[in-house]
Amino acid sequence: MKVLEKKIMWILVMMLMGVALLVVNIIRKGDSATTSFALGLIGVCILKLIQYYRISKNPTLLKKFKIEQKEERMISIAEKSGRYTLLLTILAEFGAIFVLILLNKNEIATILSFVAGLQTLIYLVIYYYLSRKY
Amino acid sequence: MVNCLKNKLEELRKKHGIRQEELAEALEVSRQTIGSLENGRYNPSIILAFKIAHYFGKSIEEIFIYEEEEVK
Repeated sequence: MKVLEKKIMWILVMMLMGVALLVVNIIRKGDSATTSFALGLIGVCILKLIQYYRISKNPTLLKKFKIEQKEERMISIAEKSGRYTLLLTILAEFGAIFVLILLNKNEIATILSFVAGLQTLIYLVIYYYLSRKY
Repeated sequence: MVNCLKNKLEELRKKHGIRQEELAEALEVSRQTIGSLENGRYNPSIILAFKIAHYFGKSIEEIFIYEEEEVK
């Protein structure tokens, strides 16, 4: 699959998730923070789709985009960025769990612990899989 | 022991009278990557190193110099 089409597909999936979250939140009369998050997600996806549409119509931008997506330095930067993001997210989650326990918000702390644990587990499974593959 | 990879990319490029943009286009990388390679901030993969060597008609060892330095 072509690079741009792949990107558009991912954006459409994200947008669909945003729409699903918005619909569920409206039906269940959820809070405004979730509605804002869903609307923000949809908005960003729409902007990305406009950007990709512009790129697809301009051969110079398309060529530059394809090089940027495929070239090894960009891939290396994206991988490093993802690694740091995961590390910082897990650290922030553990920090938040600690604070939540101190504030006696044990239910939220338990949910957050589960999320942080699951993230760590997924990381280890993917790491093991990739270390066997390469 | 610290491993270090130096290169003569900037010197060669200037000798051939080509701009970073032209070299980037020929190697199918961004101009920023050429800049990073020249400054030694980024070490290329073996494939990119071969591409660079082929482009200038030289061997990898003529462009890239591997050094090991003792850390005190």
